[in-house]
Parts: sequence; C-alpha cells; structure tokens
Amino acid sequence: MTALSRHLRRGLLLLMLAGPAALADENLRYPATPGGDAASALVIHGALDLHQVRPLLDAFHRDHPQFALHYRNLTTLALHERFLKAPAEADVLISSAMPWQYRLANDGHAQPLQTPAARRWPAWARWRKELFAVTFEPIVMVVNETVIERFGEVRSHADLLALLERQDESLRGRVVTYDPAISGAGYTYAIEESRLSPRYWELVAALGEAEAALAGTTGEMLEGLIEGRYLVGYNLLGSYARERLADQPQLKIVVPEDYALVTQRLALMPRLAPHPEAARRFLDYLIGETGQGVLARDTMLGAIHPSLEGPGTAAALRRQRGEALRPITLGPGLLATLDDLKREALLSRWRREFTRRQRR
Amino acid sequence: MKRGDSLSRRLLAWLLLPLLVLGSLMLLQAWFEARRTADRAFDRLLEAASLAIAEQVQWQDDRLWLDLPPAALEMLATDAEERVFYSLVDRRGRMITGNAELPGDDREALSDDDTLLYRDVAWQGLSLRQGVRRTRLEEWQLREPFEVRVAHSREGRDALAGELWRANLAMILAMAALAIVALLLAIRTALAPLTRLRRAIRSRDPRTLAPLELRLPRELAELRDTVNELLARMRRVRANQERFIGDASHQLRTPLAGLSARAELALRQEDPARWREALVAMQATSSRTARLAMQLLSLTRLANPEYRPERAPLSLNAIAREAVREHWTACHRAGVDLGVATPSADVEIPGIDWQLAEALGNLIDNARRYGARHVTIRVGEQPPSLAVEDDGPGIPAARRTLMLRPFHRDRDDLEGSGLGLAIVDGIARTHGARLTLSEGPDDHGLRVALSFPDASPMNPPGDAP
Amino acid sequence: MTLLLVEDDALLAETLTETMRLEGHEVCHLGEGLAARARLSVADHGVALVLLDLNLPGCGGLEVLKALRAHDRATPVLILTARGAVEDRVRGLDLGADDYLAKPFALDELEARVRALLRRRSPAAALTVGPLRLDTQQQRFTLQGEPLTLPPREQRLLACLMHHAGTPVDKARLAEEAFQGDAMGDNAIEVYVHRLRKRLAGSAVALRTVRGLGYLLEAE
Repeated sequence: MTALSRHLRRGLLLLMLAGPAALADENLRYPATPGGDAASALVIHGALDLHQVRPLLDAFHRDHPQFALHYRNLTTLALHERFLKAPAEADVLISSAMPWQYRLANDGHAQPLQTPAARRWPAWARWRKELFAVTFEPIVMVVNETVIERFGEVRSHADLLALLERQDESLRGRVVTYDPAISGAGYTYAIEESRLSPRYWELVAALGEAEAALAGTTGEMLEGLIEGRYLVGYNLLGSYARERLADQPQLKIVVPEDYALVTQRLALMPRLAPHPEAARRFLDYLIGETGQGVLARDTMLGAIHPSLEGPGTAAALRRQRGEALRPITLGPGLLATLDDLKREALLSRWRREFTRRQRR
Repeated sequence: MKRGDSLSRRLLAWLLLPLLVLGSLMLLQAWFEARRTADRAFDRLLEAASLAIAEQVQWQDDRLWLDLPPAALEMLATDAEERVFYSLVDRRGRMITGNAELPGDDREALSDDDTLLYRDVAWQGLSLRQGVRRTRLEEWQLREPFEVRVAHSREGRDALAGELWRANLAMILAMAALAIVALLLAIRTALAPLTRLRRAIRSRDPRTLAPLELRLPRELAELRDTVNELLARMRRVRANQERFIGDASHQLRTPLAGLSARAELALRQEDPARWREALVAMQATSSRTARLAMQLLSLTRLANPEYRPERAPLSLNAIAREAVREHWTACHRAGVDLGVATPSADVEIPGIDWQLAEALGNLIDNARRYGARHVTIRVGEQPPSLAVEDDGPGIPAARRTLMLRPFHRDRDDLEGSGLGLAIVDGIARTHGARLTLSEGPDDHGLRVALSFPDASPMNPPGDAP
Repeated sequence: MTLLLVEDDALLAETLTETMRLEGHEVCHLGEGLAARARLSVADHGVALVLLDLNLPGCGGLEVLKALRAHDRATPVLILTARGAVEDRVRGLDLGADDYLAKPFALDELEARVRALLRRRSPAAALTVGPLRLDTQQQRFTLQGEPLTLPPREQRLLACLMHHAGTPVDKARLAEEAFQGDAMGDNAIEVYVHRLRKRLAGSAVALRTVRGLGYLLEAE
C-alpha cells in the first residue's frame, strides 16, 4: 500500500466516521462500593450520548455496585482509532458504526460471551458470540404536516418518489437527506438501499431533481426541519428524531411501509479487555432482560430482547411494520462497505444519479 | 484354573487385538476422509467467491479497479459464521484493496490461465483456508494479470468434518460391535466340543475304565484317543492287580487251611509223639505263611507307581556286608555257608538302602531254600552290580523269565511263595537296574545279578522306570 | 532283671513271656500303648530291657519309644514288628531303638539278641560265651572254669569277639577295636584267629569264619 493511498484511506475514515454522536470527549464515573468483594474496574467506550447511556449505567451500577465504572463517550471514529492504538484499554466497545465494529470482530479482536443470555440472543442480532446488536433504531422519514395537507400522506419510499416526481416548486430545495460522501451513516444506508432495490437510484435522481439539501448528521437535518427550512427529511436516525421531535407536532415521523432500514449499535468485548469478568457481567446485563428493559423504558434506542413487548421495543415496531423492517445484516457484506474502491464506485454512481436530471 | 490362562480368553485377545488396530486405522482414515470431503465442499465457496470478485475487476483510471460485490463475501460465510478475508493483488504483488494482507501462494500454477490454489494458512493467529485465484483481465488490448485472494476460518469445515466423521464413527462402531458378537459366538461354537469332552469325562463313573465314545473334531479326537489309550493301560494294570489279589488270597488261604486241618487232626490223636510231629509241621507252615504275607506287602508297595522314594548315595560293599551279618546266623543254622566278595575300592550308587537289603534277603533266602550249600554275595565294579551266586541246582535258561512272575514256582517247590524274584525284579526296576539270571561260577548253580546304570557324575540317573 | 514286653497279640505275648522266663528273666507284659508309655515315662521304671511292638492299640510303639528316650537313653529297646519293611527299622533306630527284629522270627534269634543287648548294657559284669568267661575287671579269661592265659593281642581280639558274640564282626572292625593304632594286616589277624581257634578247640565255643567279612564267636 502506498503512502498516498494510506493517506487517502485515513481521510476517508475521518469523513465516514463523523457520525451523529460526533461530540466532545465526555466521561461518566461511578465509584465502587467500598468493602464490596471482588471489586473491579470496568471501562466502557461508547458512541452514545451521556443522556442516553446514563439510565442504563445507573441501573447496572445499582445491581452491581462492586464495579468502579468508567464510561467514556467518544465519536465512532475516535472510538475505533483509540482501540487500534490501545487494544487493552476498554472492556466493552459500543458503537453505531456497524462495519467497523464488524471488522474488529472479524479480525479476531473480540472475545466470545458464553452465557445463557448470549445463547438466547436472536441469531440475526449477533455474530458468533462476539458481536451483539443491542439497539433497534429504524431509519425514518420526517414529513411536515403542511406537505401532508397538500399532497396527502407520505407512507413509503414509493410515496416519496411520487411526491418528488410532481416536481412541485414548493418542495424545491426543501427536502433534506444525508450526503453519503461526508457521512459514514449516510454512505452505509446508501449501500444498503442500493442493494435492496434498483429503484433507489430513481429516488436519488428525483432527489437531485428536487435539488435536495445534503446534510452531514441527523441533528443538522432535524434542526432545519424544526426551523422550517426543510419540509421533508429522508433517512434520519429514528431514535434521535423521536427524541427531538417529541414537542414538534407539525413534524410527523414516518417509518416507511415498503421497507425501513434498521440500524443497530454493536457491542463487543475486546480480546485484551483488562477486566474480562466485569466486561462479561456488563455485556450480559446489556443483552439481558433487565438491561434491555431499561433501554426500552428510559431511552429511545429500542430494545431487541425478544421477550420484551410494548413501546420502545423491536417487537412493537415489528408488529407495526412487519416484514418491511430491514435491519442491516450482520455479516461479511458489511466488509464491502469498508472497501475503498467500493466506496469510490458507489459515491461516483450516487453523484452521477443525483445530478442526472439537474441539467435543466 | 488361573484366570488369565483360558483358551477362549486367549483366542478372544488375539482376535480382538487386530480388530482394534484395524478399527483405529479405519477411524483415522475416516477422519482424514471427512476432512478432505469437507474441504472439497467448502473450497467450492472459495472458488465461487474468488470468481465473483475477479469478474468485477476492471481497468479504470490506469489501474486495477474493483467494485466489490458484498454477496461475494457473504458467500464465504456459512451458518458457522466464519471470519472472512479478501484481497486484490496486482502483478507486482501490491495490495490494491482488501481487508487483510493475505499471504500469496508460491506454488507454480499448472497453466498460465485462470488458476486457483487452495491451502491452509495461519494469519494473525487465526487458522484459515485460503484460495488464491491467478487470472488476468480479458480486454482487447490489456491482459493485466492479478490475484484474488480469499480466505475464511475453518469452523464450518470442522463442523462438517466432525459430522461426517461421527456418522462414520457410528457405522464403524456398529460394525465392530457386530464383529465382536460374531467373534464371541464363533469362539463359543469352536470350543463347544471341549466342553462336551469335559462333561463326558466329569460325568463318568470313577470306577469305570471303559473308553470314551464321543464324536469330536480332529484335534480333540487325538486327545480323546490319548485318554483312551491311558484308560486301556489302566484296564490292563487293574486286571493284573485283580489277578494278583486273587492269587494272593489263594496263596494265603491254602496254608491256613492246612494249618487248621493239621491242628484238628492232631487234636484227635492222643500220642504226644504225634502232637510233636504236628507241631513241627505247623511251625514250618506258619512261618512260611508269615513270610508270604510279608512278601505280598513288599510287592504291593513296589508295584505302586505313585511310590517314588528319594534315592541316596549308597555303598554297595556296606550293603553286601550288612546282608551277610543279617543272614549269616540263619544260613549257618541251615548249614549254608554265606559269604561276601567285595572289591577293594568302594562302589557307590544312588539307591534306597532298605530295598536293596530286602532284595538281597530274598535272594539269599531263595538260594538257601533251593538247596544251595555255598552262597556268595558279590559286588561288581564295572558296571556297579550286586549278585548272589549259589551252587544249587540252578534254573534252565528257558524258564528263567517265568521265574519273575509273581506266584510262579518252579520245580517241586513246596516251601517258596514264588514272590521272591518278583520282588527283586520290582526293586531292580525302581533302581533302573537290570536283573539277570545266569549260571553260577563253574557253570552250575544260579547267579542272580542286579546291574545298575553307570553312575558317573556327568550322567546322573534320572527317574527312569 | 525285669524285661518289659509290650505286645498286643495274646498268643505271641504268652509265648515270649514263657520263653524269657525259661531264660531266667522276670517279664512284665503290657498289651496296650498308653500303659506302656505311662510306665516308661517315670525315671524309676526298673526295667532292664524293653521288647516293643510298633503296632499297638492306644498309642503307637514309636511314641512309647519317644517318651522313654526323652529322659532315658540307657535302657535298651528291641523293636518287634510285623510291618516287615526295613524302612520302619530305620525310623525306629533313628528314634533311639537299639535293635530290630521282624516278625516272624525264630525264638533262638530273639534270645541271642536279648542276650547281646543285656551284655552291652552291663559292660562291668563278666562276659560269658558258653563255657568261655571273661572277667572284664581283671581281663582274665576262664574256659570251662580253667584259667586261660593269652598274649595281650589275643586277649584283646578275644574280648572284642566276645563283646559281639553271636554276630559276625568285620575284619576292619576287629583291627580297629582289638589293635587300636597298630598297623595290622588281614593276614596278621588270621594268624591270631588261627591261634585262638587252637586254644578253644575241644570246648563248646566256636570261632567261625564269615567269608569275605570277618569272624564270629558263638557257643555251640
């Protein structure tokens, strides 16, 4: 590999990892209860905002006060880089950058979790016993009530395509979506969608024709939608949208009826984890009924555990959307996402499609 | 019977051992075969994946270009969730893209065209199966060679190999179980005649000596015939014994009857002179009867084949002298001159002293009874021998062997029991000595000699009969 | 002199008792082993010689012998048995019997053996062979009451023969007992025997030659 291409890869990584949780370095610490036997430290590196992770850590620490818990909130990029530099620093890694987490596990950096909970964990939500999907977050559209009033309900990708193909002036420049070139998440979704349906490229062309705005993060898109700059948002992270739009009745969150991507945060225990016993306890808790219950109740992240029902769970979402839900497959296909040439190929196609009908 | 020394156990061990070795070899072979089969099956995945990737390789912007199909990678992962690695390498060995710098394969390709080489590799501590596809771009002008390397971990292969092997294992074990059952049955059947023979022998009346009538396979038939021969010998021995007992009781009854009759006759008479006459006759008869009883006892003991007393080194000179001391007075009183002739050097043989003394006693007694006047005990040196010579009437050569039979009496023998020489013969046989009857010195009289086997230290006498 | 006769056969016992009485001995007869053992187990048994049958009711003759020999090695024992085999004689002699006589035996044979045993027991007393007498104390011989004067070597030879009177004596033994140490050839012994014969001639004492063995002195 030449220095040039290495540099290139590095740059791409930076761009791609600039995910929605790209915030500053933050920490949460819980001291161990003095006198507790088997006291141990537990270091968790996660790409999860503190307010989302806090309920979970609170609950875990209540049940296991013997662990001196240290949660470090990192961006998905920082988390990955930091791990490669110091593979024996963290006991648990939680990140939404699925291809990167998958690659770590594929390369043998993770150790398996052999517990009853791990064995019961649904096969689609884990890889071997090393990589566990712990959340269930649909990718959604957000539609302003005014659009619905004017053009009717937008329930699916087909509805969105039809809406865009009206070529109505009122929508020009007021649709927003991820720029796959600068957002890792957007790129991942683009790859997945392009594999799901060839009509995706028509949608990209329609978006281009509507002069859709391109954003780097879900937060950015939500901001524009709340402010009213955008009327339609496409491919937003559902968990963030629900959180932010709770007090925005004019913005409707749509989980598409034809197909809806579902992203998941992946947790793994590094092979060189300094406190493997503590790591096992935490991961087991995270995929256990209790931990998943906390996720369902106190966060918007969505719980996977099959015995959990009700709002905030995968089961509830499945009942609502059924077969349309398309969780991103935890498999070697994710490795293709990380292929440099693949990325270049996809982005050039994307750009080509996006600009195809813009010549006018 | 010792536990370890059973015929069926021996057979079983010698048949089972090769069976076990064979079974182990089969299991080993089955394991390698299962692995080969699993590898063949899974190598198809490497082939398909590498082909799917190679088909997407193009020349673009003056370099190799790959639009990696995710499906190609997904092909490599089965239900066993293998770890998957790939790389695209150009003609100079530089990695164009991939998720791992997989090692190349140095083996020479069979042809310049599209080739695929499989092998097991270790990469960063993982043991992988790798396929390297060497091919080239098929464009009009450009025929750029390149390599697609794909690899995955072995979990799926191992699981399949294990499954195939276990299926084989079950079959081999079932076969082994069948073989062992067959073996046990075969051994039991083969040894059944032995059991029959044992039952036949055990259920016999211990007194019967009739031959065994039993149909048996050849090997055992030989054993049965040997046993029958032994039984036949025992029948002959027993017939002999029965005849002997009959003779003995007859021999004892006769003088007792005579005694009784003579006493009765004497009691009818009043003349003391007659009484005295009767008493003299009775005294002679009773002493002869007592002697007869004693000889019978000796003969019985000598005839017992189980009786094998220890032999000790003996001086023949001393035995001869002792015999003279013992019998001289009696001989002298009967007017017989008893003497001894010994060599100056002592002659030693291994023997039983009391038996030899008894033999000499019998011979001296015989000589005296049959009218000898001079009796000499002679000790010979080469070979060691004991002989009793007399100047009596002797025995014609033709009848000498008859003399050895119990109760055979020669001439007008009124006094003898006919047992003396039979006893001497028995003693001679116990000592492995030869008994010879011949003329005495000067061609008259009788010479009875016991010639002992030469007792040189190099050739100690065994327990020869 | 009391002889103890241990014999269970009534006829034989009666005959032997009578024979010994006629010889001038007192005879005590016991027909059973236990009584004999009891009698002989005490130190003061007062028996000069034991005539012992081996096959006894109560307890075996060999056991009686053992009980006697446990405290008394001097009293002579003559074994009488019907067992016949010389084998038993060895065992009896091993246990300390002095002589052995197999049944049936001639009465005069028994008398000779008893005489010999009694003579051996009392070496101090005078030795007599028929009309020949030896005062052992003074080494003086008398023949038919007449003193018989002999040279020393003939004296020793005659004394030795008298000790073993009735049984043949080896020349070797004569040489050893009569001429201790002196190197005497067989011929020399023959010379002395010849001289002795002359002296004894005409009396009822005979000195006989046992061919190949030696000599024997006996009363005719």
